[in-house]
Amino acid sequence: MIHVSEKCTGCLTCALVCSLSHHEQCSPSLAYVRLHADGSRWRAEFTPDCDECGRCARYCPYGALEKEN
Amino acid sequence: MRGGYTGRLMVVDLTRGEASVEDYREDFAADYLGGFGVNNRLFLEYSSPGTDALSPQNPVIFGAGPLVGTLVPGASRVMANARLPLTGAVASASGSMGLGANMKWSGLDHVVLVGRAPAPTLLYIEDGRVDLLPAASLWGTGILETTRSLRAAYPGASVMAIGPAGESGAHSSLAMIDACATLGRGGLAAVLGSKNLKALVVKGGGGVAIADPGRVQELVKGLHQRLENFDMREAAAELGMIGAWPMYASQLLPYGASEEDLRELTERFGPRAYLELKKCRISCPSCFLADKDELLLPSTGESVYSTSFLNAAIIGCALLMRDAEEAASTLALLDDLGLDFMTLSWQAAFLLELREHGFITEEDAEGIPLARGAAILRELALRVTERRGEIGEAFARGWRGALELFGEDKRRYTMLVRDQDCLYDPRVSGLGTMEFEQVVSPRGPTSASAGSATYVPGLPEERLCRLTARMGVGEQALGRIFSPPWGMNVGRLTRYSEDWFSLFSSLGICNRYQINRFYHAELVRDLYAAVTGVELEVGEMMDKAAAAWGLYRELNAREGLGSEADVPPEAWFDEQPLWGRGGHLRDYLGNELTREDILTLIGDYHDERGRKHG
Ligand code: SF4
Ligand code: SF4
Ligand code: SF4
Repeated sequence: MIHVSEKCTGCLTCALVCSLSHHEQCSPSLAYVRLHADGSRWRAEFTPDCDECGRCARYCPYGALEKEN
Repeated sequence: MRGGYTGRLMVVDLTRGEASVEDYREDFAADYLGGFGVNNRLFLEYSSPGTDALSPQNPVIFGAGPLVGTLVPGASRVMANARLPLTGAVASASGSMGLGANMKWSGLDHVVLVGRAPAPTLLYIEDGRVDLLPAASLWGTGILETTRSLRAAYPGASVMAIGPAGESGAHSSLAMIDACATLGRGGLAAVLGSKNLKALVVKGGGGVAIADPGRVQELVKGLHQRLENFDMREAAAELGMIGAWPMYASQLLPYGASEEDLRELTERFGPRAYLELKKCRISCPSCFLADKDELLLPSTGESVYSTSFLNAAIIGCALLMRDAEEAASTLALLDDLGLDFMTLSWQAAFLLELREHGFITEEDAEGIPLARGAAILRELALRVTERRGEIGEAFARGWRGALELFGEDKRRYTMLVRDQDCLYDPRVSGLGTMEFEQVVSPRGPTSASAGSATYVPGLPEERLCRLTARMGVGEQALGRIFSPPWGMNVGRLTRYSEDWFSLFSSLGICNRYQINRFYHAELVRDLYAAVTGVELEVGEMMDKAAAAWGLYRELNAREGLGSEADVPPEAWFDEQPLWGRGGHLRDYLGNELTREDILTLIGDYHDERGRKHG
């Protein structure tokens, strides 16, 4: 399970790399990780299609996506 | 068009309430890359010279380059072209946050606005469809509230809004994107206000096609690696631009300030003061070193956005405000009204100069408090917005209005080029490319264009030369730039700094120093190829960027703002302090400069501009 911490700035890099690697385009709507603004915090939601490849976490420039055991 | 580009533009006729989506000519992108370059080409198509900035015939053209909406770090830029009222120049303004990316995800590279809506209007674009909605209930509302309410109504959308200053036609007004990025110093908001357009809301549910997804991921990974190895990374991540406080502090200090003053201002506006207000950092799409903030003002519990805390520190130091909270809340007020904080601060400083030299008294100031601090700026901002009193009305017409009111002979208490205030004073920071650009930029002084390694003070010549080569400057040009008698010829270097900006803005990458320092010309070429599928040589790519800049100059030359308008301000040649700054004019390397030197350097700039890359 991947979870988003308070370090998230809403840059969407996670969603852009996910859609790029799975759909060959940069599109937050096609990504299997969805970011929602919740006041000044961000919430990440993973769709059932997520295969836990971990790319989103590896590309997150702010180290905001962490794997939970 | 394979990747990166959508190939489509939307034309919205606000007078008729009609919109159409069409393919634009492929050769526009082939010749001028996209974003800034194609905007200039489209402006040629949709405008006629001599059109008044506030006339319905003045088009506003938005453009997002081929890398915008992708994961290329900092590829968030949206450009907006229009003739602006402050200077009469055709400007290509640069903004950020989510507008450009949402245009791209909506299937559009450009949006062209023409005409004037009959009543206050909101333009909503979603996936290439368009709605023109009544916005009378938002008219008169500040930008923060407008943005919050539109974001609640359209979750996930990007909001560009104007404030009351744009509605009333103030020449120092600008628009804000997502409440934390400025767009269009010099009155873009007044142009939008004259069209009765309160806001543009764009939501894109599609995507940007990528020619070679694997190569893009590789190249982006490499950029992230460079960021990992950046020695200032921790400070930048924690503090944003204020992480480089010692570099900025020396330029923000008032003329003649002592070590003690430096300590005092650091206490008020430096890193510690920032951390006390910081709530969270906000990023543009794809940015890996975000510098925008949400700040919490402790005494009111109010939460405000900031384009960057550094801007609060700038006005705080310029007007010696009490503390960071006062500076941040004043900046938030100006952002909310939709006013350019620099122009307003310098207009306040101008009034203080007039008082100091005995030209005006408190009485003449119609109740505007003539003392350094936040109050003068806040009061002036409200008067300009409401066009209240003689001063409010005059200053709302920019520097021309101010000089008409107080007399042309008071120009010596200003630092203007093309009727726009200089942001950088080379008597303080030395004549680097950003300082010099203020004289030769077709739109007048801005903070956007002509960044180069001279942004960082005190670099030795060899280092400057190496960092210049990174911007795709060929051997022969390097030889002309780094040669006697100057050591570094800023006129010649500025031409390539402009081309570098043109390249970034045409492709859509943020040109802020903290982002562009990670790029070099070969990398940009490779990213462009990986995203679009178009392979170019570095020289070819830079020639296209130069052609885009050439077109920009041409658009202004036909408005009577050609090279004859490249005139340095008198204050540069006068050691007297002005607006809290002063000293002798000197070049980047510290050598003193005369008026003749500046004229020679302007000549060298034009000579270099006439050449091909290489
Ligand atoms: S783990 Fe992989 S599939 Fe799942 S959201 Fe992240 S990038 Fe997408
Ligand atoms: S990449 Fe990281 S910081 Fe950016 S939106 Fe995703 S989780 Fe947040
Ligand atoms: S540096 Fe600032 S303006 Fe540039 S992309 Fe990053 S957050 Fe946006």
